[in-house]
Amino acid sequence: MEENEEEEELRPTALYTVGGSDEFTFVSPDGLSGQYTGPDHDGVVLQTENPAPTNCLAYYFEVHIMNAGEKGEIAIGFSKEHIYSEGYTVRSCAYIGNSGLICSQNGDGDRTVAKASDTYTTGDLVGCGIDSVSQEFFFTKNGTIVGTIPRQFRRPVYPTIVLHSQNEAVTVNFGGQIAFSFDFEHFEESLRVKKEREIEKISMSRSISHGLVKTYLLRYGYEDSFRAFNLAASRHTVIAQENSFDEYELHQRKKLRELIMTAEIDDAIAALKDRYPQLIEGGSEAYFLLICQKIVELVRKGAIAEAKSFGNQDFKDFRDSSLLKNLFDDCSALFECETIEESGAAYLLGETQKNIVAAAVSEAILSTNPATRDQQSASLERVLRQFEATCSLYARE
Amino acid sequence: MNLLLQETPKIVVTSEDWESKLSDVEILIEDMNRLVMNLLVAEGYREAAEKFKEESITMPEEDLASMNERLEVIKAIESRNLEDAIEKLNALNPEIIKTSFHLHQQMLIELIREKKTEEAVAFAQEKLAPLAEENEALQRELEKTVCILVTEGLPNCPSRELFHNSQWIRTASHVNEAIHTSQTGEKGPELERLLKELIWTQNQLDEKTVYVYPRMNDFSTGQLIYRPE
Repeated sequence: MEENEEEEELRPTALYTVGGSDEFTFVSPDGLSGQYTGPDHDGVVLQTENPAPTNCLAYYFEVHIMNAGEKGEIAIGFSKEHIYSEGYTVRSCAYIGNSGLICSQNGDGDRTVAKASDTYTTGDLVGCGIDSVSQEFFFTKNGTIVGTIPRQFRRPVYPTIVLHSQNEAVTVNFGGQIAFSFDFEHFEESLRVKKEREIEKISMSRSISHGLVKTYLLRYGYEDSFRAFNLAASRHTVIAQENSFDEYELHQRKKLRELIMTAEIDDAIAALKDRYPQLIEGGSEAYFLLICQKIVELVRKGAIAEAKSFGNQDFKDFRDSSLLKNLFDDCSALFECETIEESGAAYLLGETQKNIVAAAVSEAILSTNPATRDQQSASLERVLRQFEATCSLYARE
Repeated sequence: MNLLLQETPKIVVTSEDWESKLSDVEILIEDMNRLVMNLLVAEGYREAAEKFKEESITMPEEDLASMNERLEVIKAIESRNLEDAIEKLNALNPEIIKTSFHLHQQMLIELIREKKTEEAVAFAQEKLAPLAEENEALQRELEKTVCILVTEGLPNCPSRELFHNSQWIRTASHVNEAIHTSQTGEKGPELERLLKELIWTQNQLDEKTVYVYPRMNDFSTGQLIYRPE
């Protein structure tokens, strides 16, 4: 499945102050350096303008400790919200300089402390990242992982630095221009391999994918493909009897598919009227798609006048549906504009559109089968929807 | 104990919300056709791929004629002609002969079938064992095969199935995948990988996140169920 083209996620690029003593805080104009000069008990929370991206296996940023200040109490990590409370942000995780502790709190008063790791001080490069495969935060010091902690709160999370004691100063590296001291590319690759291995280990009977393909070929009337596949695959897989494949009107659906794919729309409409009058009388979506395809084929042949008169018929019933209205408007645009390109409806002239119409007609005929009238969408399609939905839920968790 | 599950309350995604989420996903017919074509080509169903190309106007990612050499090897294995298969494979990609555990396993089975016990033991130690290193599944297969040497005479030999025709079909399938991977870099059909990734993602959601959501366990019906707590 190709990913739906989404807008590229904004990534963290700069720090700004979200809480604490503003008057004693200096953040450089580029948002990459911060310094705290105030009294020890106050401190300041610096956070990025954008959260860590979710569409990747791992995210990482690195901080150069320019000055550990009076007490070296710098805390580096991630936090959930722009809330400041007594020097800590709630729902956060952090690696603390002078104690070497890795702490996490989930906002419900639960605080988890990982075993003490190395401490860090002036001159050290400290990194913090999210491992989306293990659902953990990980921390590095001078290029080496020094600890991990389970992620206890949901995304979005923001890279966060808390400066607690006087003269603490840091510079942050979000990647790109300057190389990290930690080999993040190698780490990301190892996660990819780990995920691949885990996926590969899952055992799955061939009959599952074969069953999905057979159901799909049947559903959309690919009769010859179904017969050839069924014959060849029967030697390799035994599919459970309860998955026996319903060949309801398969040959008729194949014939209609052929008529549509070869642009013989009049014959397709006639065959539909003859054999499945209920689909015509009931004004099914499939019938409407055929009418639109008829207009498309007339335009393709250059019979614009005929296309216009055909398009001017009363299709009020269909135009109640916004989806079908848009399609009808696109069809009309084909003969109302000077050029097809100008109409923005050139897609209607492609093979894909014929396939969509043929699939809709096949499904409409299947819906006339009393035995399977309540059947859901094709299993393959449903599986792909579940795949996209779970991946998106997991990425945003 | 996973801290995430221990300390964070569950978020239940209702069936209605999930169904609405599913219907928002746009699945293109050409994507489904591409997945089907990919499986037909990867698994070597040339005739079905040709028919599907005609019926759906879906172009395969590789020229269907280029499948011929691969299918010749597969045909030889399925016809139990190991010598011919190795000869053809040698011309196509000799590396696969060296690295294919399943091809060597079939050779070992044939040595056992021909009662060449000493040769079989040596072959298992020298050729097959190194190929199964660091792979638990292959080690189990190796044990199962070597087990025939000990129990072959027994009426209820647990490894008896290795002598059946289905074993040749399995070997052919593994060799087909090895050839296809060497030619395209793809490990098996994309659809199979996608199904496995769906299982993996659902497991991750169950084990490592706060969500309770409708899970799909039965791919043949596409039915959704809530995992019992």
